[in-house]
Order: sequence, then C-alpha cells, then structure tokens
Amino acid sequence: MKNLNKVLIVSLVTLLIMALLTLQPQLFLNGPIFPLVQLAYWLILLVWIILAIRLKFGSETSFRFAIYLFVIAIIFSAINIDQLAELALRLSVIGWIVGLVQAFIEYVRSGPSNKHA
Amino acid sequence: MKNKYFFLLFLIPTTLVIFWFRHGNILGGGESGLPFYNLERQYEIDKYSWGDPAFGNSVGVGIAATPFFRAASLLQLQGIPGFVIEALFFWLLFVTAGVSIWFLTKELFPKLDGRFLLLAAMFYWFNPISLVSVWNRFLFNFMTFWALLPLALFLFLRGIRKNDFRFSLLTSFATVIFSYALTSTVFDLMLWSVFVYITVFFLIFEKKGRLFLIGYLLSTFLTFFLFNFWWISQLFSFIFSSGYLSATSAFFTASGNLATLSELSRRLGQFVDILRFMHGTFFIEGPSWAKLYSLPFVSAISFFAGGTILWTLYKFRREKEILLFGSLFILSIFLAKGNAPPFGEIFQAFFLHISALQVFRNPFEKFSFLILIFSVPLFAIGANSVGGLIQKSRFNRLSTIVFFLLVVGFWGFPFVTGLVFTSTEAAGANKLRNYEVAPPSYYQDANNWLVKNSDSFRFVSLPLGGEAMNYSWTKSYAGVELSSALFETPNISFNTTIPFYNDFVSNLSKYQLDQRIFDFFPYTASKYIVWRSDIDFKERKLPDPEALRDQLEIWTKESFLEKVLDKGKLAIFQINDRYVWPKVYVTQNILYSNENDLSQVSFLNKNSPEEKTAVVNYGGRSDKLQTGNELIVKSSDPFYPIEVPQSLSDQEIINNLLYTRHLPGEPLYFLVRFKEILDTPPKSDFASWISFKTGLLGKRAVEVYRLYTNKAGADLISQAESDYAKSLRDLTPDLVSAVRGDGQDARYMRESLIYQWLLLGRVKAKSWKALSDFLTIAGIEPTFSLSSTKQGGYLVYDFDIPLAGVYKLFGGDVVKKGIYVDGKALEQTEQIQFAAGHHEVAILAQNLKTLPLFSLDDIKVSDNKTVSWNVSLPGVPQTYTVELDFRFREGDMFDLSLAQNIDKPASLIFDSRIAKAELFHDWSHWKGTFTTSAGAISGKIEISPSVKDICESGLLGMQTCKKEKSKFDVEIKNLKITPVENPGLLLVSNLRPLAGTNTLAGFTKINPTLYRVKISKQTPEPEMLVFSELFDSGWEARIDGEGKIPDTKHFLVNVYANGWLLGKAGDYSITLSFQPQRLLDVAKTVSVISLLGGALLLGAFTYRRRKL
Repeated sequence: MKNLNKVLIVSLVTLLIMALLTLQPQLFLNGPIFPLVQLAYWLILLVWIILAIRLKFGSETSFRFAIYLFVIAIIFSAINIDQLAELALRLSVIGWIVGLVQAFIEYVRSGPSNKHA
Repeated sequence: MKNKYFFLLFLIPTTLVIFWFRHGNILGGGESGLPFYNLERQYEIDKYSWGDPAFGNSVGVGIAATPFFRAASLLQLQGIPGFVIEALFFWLLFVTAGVSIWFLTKELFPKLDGRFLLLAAMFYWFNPISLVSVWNRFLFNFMTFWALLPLALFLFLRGIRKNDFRFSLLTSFATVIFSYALTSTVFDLMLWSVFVYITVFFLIFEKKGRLFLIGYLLSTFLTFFLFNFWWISQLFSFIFSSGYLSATSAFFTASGNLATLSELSRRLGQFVDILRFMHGTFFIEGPSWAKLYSLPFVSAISFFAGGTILWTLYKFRREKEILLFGSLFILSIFLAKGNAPPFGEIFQAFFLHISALQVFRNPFEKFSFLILIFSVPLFAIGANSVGGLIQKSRFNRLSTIVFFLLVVGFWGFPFVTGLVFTSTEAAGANKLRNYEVAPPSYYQDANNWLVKNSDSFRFVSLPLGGEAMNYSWTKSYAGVELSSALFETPNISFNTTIPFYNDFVSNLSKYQLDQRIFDFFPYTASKYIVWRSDIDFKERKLPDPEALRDQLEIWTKESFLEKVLDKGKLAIFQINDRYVWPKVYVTQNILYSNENDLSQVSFLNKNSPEEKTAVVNYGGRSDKLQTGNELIVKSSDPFYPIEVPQSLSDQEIINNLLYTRHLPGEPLYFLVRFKEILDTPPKSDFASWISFKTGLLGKRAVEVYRLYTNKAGADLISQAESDYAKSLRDLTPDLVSAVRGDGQDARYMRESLIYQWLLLGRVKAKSWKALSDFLTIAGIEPTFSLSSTKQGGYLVYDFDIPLAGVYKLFGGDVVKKGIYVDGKALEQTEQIQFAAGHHEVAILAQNLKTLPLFSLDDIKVSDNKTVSWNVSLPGVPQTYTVELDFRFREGDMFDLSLAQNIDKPASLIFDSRIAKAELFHDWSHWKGTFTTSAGAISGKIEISPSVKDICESGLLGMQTCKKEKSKFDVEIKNLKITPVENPGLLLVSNLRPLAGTNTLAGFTKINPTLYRVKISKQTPEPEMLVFSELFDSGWEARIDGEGKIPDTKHFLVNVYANGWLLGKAGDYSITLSFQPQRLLDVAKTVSVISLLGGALLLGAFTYRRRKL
C-alpha cells in the first residue's frame, strides 16, 4: 500500500510538470508568460490531493474546509481587507474543485441520492 | 399551472415595465443606440446582406436580428408607439426568463415548493450580473440571450430526461424566435458548449440511452443549423470576406488581445467580486447608487448567494443534478475570471493557441451569463434546505422571508426604483443620466426633407466625431452616434473602426474648419451638409458648432454652399454641384497612390472637381499601373536617425548595456540563463517584457564581444553568435513596433540597439549584419549612410517605389534644398530617376525650423501667482513639443496645461504634472508632446498648482476624499511650445497626360445589394468605373451578356470605394451585385422549408405519442 501511495504521488507530480510544460512550451524559450508565483496554487492543489489520498478524507472534508475558508473570506471582506479575502476565496475554490471531483468519484462508486428527484 | 405563486411571474414584469415606461419615452443609450425610434428603418438596414448606413457595410451575423425587427416594425406600422413596443419587448424577456427558470428548476427538483421556484426566478431577474451585464449595459442582444439561455437549457435538458426528440426541435425553434441573441457569435459558442457538456455528462453518468443522447445532440445541432441557416450563411460569408480580414488585421492582434484579457482579468476576475456576483469596477466607479453595494459590511451581505450555493454543493453532493450544475457553476466562475489566478494559465494557453477563443477578451462580460444560469437552481435548493434546518415552522418561514428580502429588496432595489436604467453623466461625475430619450421633432422634419430631396446622395454631418455622441436634448442621450437611426438617408456622421471607412473619415474630419474638406466631398457622393448644434461638443472634443456655423456661412457667401433648411438646432446646406459626384461614375483620370489623405493628391488634377478622378490604391498591385495618369508615392512615417556615438570606447559602450559576469562555456553560465527566465516579466505586461528582452539582447551582444576579445574557441563564438541572431529574430515582430514613438521606453530600446550595433561592429561579429538590417527595418538608422552634420541631423523618409521611372518630389518649400536621395545630395527635385524598390530621401532638419506657438525666456511662478496665456490654434490637428527648464524654490510639483476651446476642464488635451526629482534639485529640463484636436481654434496655456486627492477613512470604512492644491514656487526658463514639422513628401511620376472623360454612366439602385449601370463609352481606352460603396471582395461587376469583370480588375479606389477597370467601348449595361445576398436568398429558403418541416415533424411526433 505504501509503495502504491509513492507511485501515485510520483505520478501526480510528473503529470503536473508535464501539464505545465505542455501548456507553456514558451516557458523556456521566451520566458514565462505568467508570474511564477502562480505556481503556488498548483502546489496547493497538489498538496490537497495528496492529503486527500493519504489521509483518506472524502468530499465532505474538502467541502468543509472550503466552507471554513469561505467564512473567513466573508469576515475579511466585512472588515474591508479584500486582499486577504481574495486569498481565502482562492484557496476555498481549490477546495470546491477537489471536493467536487471527489463527489463525482463517490457518486460513481456508491450511486446517487435522490432527495429532490 | 396550479401553483398559487405562478401568476407573479407575469404580474411583477407587468408592474415593472409600466413603472419604467410611465413617462412615455423610449429607453436607449450605450452601444445599442435607439432602434425603437424607427423600427422600420432598423429592419431596412438589417434585411439585406449589405446595409446602407455610412458608406455601406456587410451586415454579416447582424442579420440574425431581422425577424425581431420585422415583427416590431409591423407593430409600429400599426401606429403603436416605439416605447410601448420596447416595453412589450422587455416584458416578454422578463416573463420568458422567469417562466423558463421556474420550469428548469422544477425539472431538476420536482419536489421543490412553489415559493422557491418563484425565488429562483426572482434571483435570475434581480442579481448584480443581470443588473450590470444585461440591463444597465443595455445591449439588446445581451438581453435577448439572457432570456433565451434558461429557455433553451430547460428544453434541451427536458428532452434528455424524457428521452424525447421533440425537445431538440423545440430547442432549435427557441433559438429562431430569440435569434436576436445570436447576433453575437460568442453566445452561440457558449450555448453549444453547454449543450455538449450536458450531453457528455449524461453519457458518462447514465449507462442507458447513450445512443439516444448522441442522436439527440446531433438532432439539435442539425435542426439548429438548418433553422438558422439564413444568418449562419452570412456569418461564414463575412468570415471569408476581405472586410473581415482587413478588420482583424488592422484592429486586432494576439498581443493586443492578450493585453486586454490580462487587464480585464485583473480588474474583473477576482473571486471576491465573482462570488458576490458583482462586476469588479461598476460598483466602485459606477453610478452613486451602485457604490452603496461596495460599503464594507454591505458588500459582505452579497456573499449570501455564493454561500448558499456552496452549502448546496456540500449538502447534496451525491445528487446527479447538483453535480451537473455544481460542476458547470465552478467551471463558469473559472472561465469568467480569465487568466487571473489561480490556474489562469490554462485559460491563457487556450486563448493564445486557439485564435477563435480570442473573442473572449472580456471573459467576465460573457461567462457571467453562465455563472448566473447555473447558480439559480443551486441557490433555490439551498435556500429551501437552509429553511429546513430550522424545525420550528415560523423560523422556517422567516428564513424564506429573509431570502426574498435579500433577493428582491437588497439586489432588486435598483430594478424596482428604475435606477438600473441610469448611468453617470460623465466619467467620475456623480450626476445621474436616465436612459429615457426623446429625440426632438425637428429631426423628423429634417429627415422628411432629406428623403424627399436627397435622391441617391448621402449627406455629411458636422461636427463630425467618433462612434459615440452626447445629444443635449430635453431627455439627453449618450451612446453610439444616432444619425443612422434618426435619418433614412445614408450619411457620414461618425468615425469608427470599419476598415477603409476609418481611413477616409479620419482624414476628412481633420478639415472640418478648413476649405480642404471640399477635396473630400466629391468622393463621398454627398449632396448636403447637416449642421447640428444640439450636441455636447466638449464631451467628445468636437469642433464648436458655432465656429462651424460661422465657417459654413462664409462658404455660403463664397457660393460653395447654399442653405436649404433651418429647423430647430439643425441646418441643411446644399453643396455646390461642382463638388457633387454621383455614386457611380466613370473616369479616365486615374491616379495610383498609397496616400489616404485625398486633399494631398487632389492638386494633381488641375481640372478637379469638374473632371472626375479615381485615386486607386496600388498596394501590392503594380501590374496595372501603366493604365494610370499619375503614380503618387507616399513615404512611410519619417524618422530622425540616432546620432551614432562612434567616439565611445568599447568599455563605455559596454557600460550602457546589461552587466555580464559569466560567459557561455563557463560552469555556472546555465544559472545565469535560468535566472533570466525567472526574472522575465510576463508577456501580458508587454511594456516591461519587451524592455527586459531588449536588455537581455544587449547582454547577448556583450557575450559575443567578450568571447571574441577573449579569443574563445570558434564553436563557442559560433554558438553565441547564433544565440544572438535567434534572439533578435524571435524578438523582431514585437520590437519593430515597440521602438517607434517618443516614449522613454522606446528611446531606451533604440539606444540599447545602437550600442549593441556599435559593439558587434567593433569585433566584426557576423550578427552585426542582422542587427544592421533590423535597424533599417525598424526606422532607427537609414539604409544609406549620410554624412555627419552638427545642425540637428536629418529627417529620413522611406519610399517603396512600385515602378521604375522619372519622379518629381513634392512637399512644400522646405524641400527645395538640402535633399539627399539614397545618401547622395540632390541638385534638383523636378526629375529624379528611381529604380523600383526601396529608396530613402533625407532632408536637413535645420531647414524645418518653424516659429514657436509660444515662448517665454524667464518667469517665476508660485501657487499664489498662477499664470496663463491665450494662443491661437490652427483648426487642423498639429503636434507640438513643449520644453522648459525649471528649478523649485519651494514645493515639489506644479501643472502645465493647454486647454483648447473645445476641451472640458476635466479632460484637457495637454495636462502634465512637472515634479522635482528625488535627489537632484537644481535646474532640470522637461520635454513633452501633444497633438491638438480637429476644430480647436484657440487655447489657454496655464501653469497652476497640482491638485491632490487627500482621503480619510470614516464610518464603516467609507472613504471621504477632498482635493487639495499643492504649494510651490518655481523658476522657469526657456518655456517653448513648437510645432513638429514633418512635411509629407510625395514622389509623383507622370505616366500619361490627364484627359477629359466622355464616357456616360447612369445607374439605378434596385436595392442595397443590386445596382444596374448603363455605360456609353466611345473609346477602348482604360477607364475606371467607380462605385462609391465600401470596398468589399463580395461586390461583383458583371457586363450583361459577357460575364463578370475579373477580380484582377477590381480595385480599392478613393481610399474606401470599389472600382473596376473598363476597356470595352460601346453602349452596354453592367450589374453591380453583392454576392452574399445570393447566398442569403438560398439560405432563407432552406431555413423556411426546414422550419415548416420541423413543425410538421413536431406535430407528427406529438400525434404519435398521444396515440400511444
């Protein structure tokens, strides 16, 4: 199982680097077309995915984190610190994405719930 | 529908439109203009593939609006006022959107209570996206798409869920009824992307019926294509036309689009705005009422919708519908934020690599529609479940009331008060302007007179400005210029970015107060001038109508004009017949030229305007030049070559370039290159990027130099040389345009390149040649070397001579002496022999010295003693340089400005802040430039205190700002404002003598796309048949009985029009037709038959289902 996790992590990192290079072949020709600091968000996404796999938490946890970050953003916005609010929301939205993908996987694995249908 | 809330979907829109239109005025403004003023006129413009406004233009996809204008104009013909029709239109959109949302939400969540279905509809009506992007923006196609989207989505989704093909037909029928929405191709792309996504989603998550899903999507696509074929045919016809090619190449570039995308993403792509459904700038810079939503605590309330949606995702994440709409919602917020972080790189990569996606330069404007539609059902279900959390029924009810209050009271406030249809009077102003418009009755009188008298002629409106206009009516108007809607007679009343039209009108509008305007009138096929004084000329920097009126009266006294009508604030002047040429004429006088300012070439035909002339653009077409009378070659923009500092030592040159420590071949060199990659600014910040890359190029040049001087190995030198050459080659397309101009960055880059050139020359590097070529291409150095001069250098003109021959140089008195051709001094200018190809003419700059507009030797100014001087301006645009020396005795800044007589105080043509340098406080030199506006006849130069905004935070974080004048005391010397004299030079070759034309041409206009011309031509001499409609490759001339005149004889003439070379003598007829109309006629038939077939099929399916 440990080996499987390692393989998974290495694959994810490789995929990420490949995706970045494919999207931006000019990175090493003409210089980056976006500030490299933006890579931090990719890293956060990666860390979130790795944590989700290693700690085996599902969409519920990801969404919970996203909601907490969302609430923090509202508080920052209410006291007029929009830059921190924006940062919290960016992290929150990363949580939404991960949570949604997890929810898709859970749906496929265990079938739908039809509360409103 | 038995639900007790359903009737509110009709009652609320009814109440709203009655309130909005209670004064009996139509609403208009912005980019949509005023179509409801004269719907029949609008229908006439749109119904053919070629519309007649201005010089005419391809209607293209705009034809999709025809069914709407047909229906609306029929109502107006029945005597129903325009404002009632507009009110009905708004009502229909609100009801369609509301009812569709109701059914869409019910389709997804059948158990949802009626209250929440109503809440969903109200959420869709009253939210900040609808407020800003739809109703305040006031674009009718945006409004229509806003109504179509939920309807199409509901029909498409219901068909999938019911496995019913009939809904694919109904979806396509809906797109025909609301085809006005599809005049924006962006919306077509978005609609189809959603359909495809939904189908793929169901293909993945529904194991049954996959064949049906594919068939259903194909059926929807096929019926959509056939039903809408009439406008789809025109869309493709336009995409493959010369007009589209010219427009995209002249006005759009990938780097420009990227810069726009980056800027708009930065301003509008913040989650803190998007997740509140708010536009990033409207609620900060917009009308006063909108700013209330930006107050700190108030702005936090707007998160209620985003929070509810997130709650829904969390709570019901195992439901298929939630996953579908949740994923679409997340996707749409990512698309709406453009290339802003996080993960904006993905958007940018697609944007750059798929050029069709560059229509999404303003992603929030487009994708916010998707955010809205996908959020509505999620919000409704979330609001319902929040209520369900609270067990006690009265609290449950309270939460529902709170949601209604937030949607209707908080967000709906601008709708229910009518504020949604207001904007600020001017940028930065607080006064509101209502969208209600009431054009004065004298427009109707003037229109009727023109319809009766103008025959097939146009008119020119003066003052003439850009696309936008402010009319100072009782109910004022601000938006696109309205003459195409107010008058049925085609007219030249604005300038815009239509290729060729822009070239012509930009030049004409320069001479509004100058007699040279009469050099343009004959080419426009205009018979009248309409003078107007009911406009806010200062808002748009137009000539003062009163000054124009005085000039028109002078021209009337001189018999150039005759006043024929004076109504209200309009007057019509008839142009003397000598200056009125018909729309179709034939002439033997053919001037080939690349000059767009016709006043510069008209002097060559001494018999003009009595003898008609055709000025043919020879660009890329040198094969027919022998058929002309004169060949007139204009140079590209002249430039002053940089004085090359040959005396500098190698080290002094290196000191002006980037520092290098490690050379190629050294162990740590790769780290240097890696650091360069990390340091490079993003290309979206183009100015920084190009400056940095030019700096790096200098670094490469130093490396080459040092490898040579260090006597490095041949391989290393060769590698460094090719590295330099490649860097220069890759940079060339961007660098050529970046080094032009007077800005500091451009100057720095030019100087850097000169230093590189010197350095590479010192070691005889191979890449020196490549750089030399670049310097001439970029207009930094002349191709032919000029002897050194200490008297201000040379002004160099590049000429591309298309035909070898003897040329005469024209260009005013200044070019009588001190002229050099290809580096050699010239004895005379009357007969200069040129071979075909690139040539350079240089003139001594000392011969160009002109009298300054204003000069002052010495003055002391302080904030207590501001000074101003009045000056006269020439009326036609003129560039000036401003120079002065200054030393502060107190304070650190002051303003130097020039206010033209046509400037608003808030937007002066020249207003510069001159500030003390941080470290150097002695005498300093300052230089700037400005160009006066057309029609500016006087100005006031002023030195005054700079005004600063001093802001303080108050209650609830609200900022209060006040303006404060800075204190200063300054000594000024040598203040001088001097005109920049770059005389236009022309080389003229006489090919054959100009002659009188005896050929007669009469024409009949059948419709805007079809003309019949009768020719009576006595000789087989080549002559030009001129057709004064905008040049387009779709126009075709066909000699009856013989066939089409080949495309090789179809020319761009008179800067904008069509011309065909005629050789055939005798009496015969020619048909001029616009080809896309033929396709339109066929496409209309296909669409009508398909619609009938679709209706029959729908009936048959329904009958069969009922029978079963």
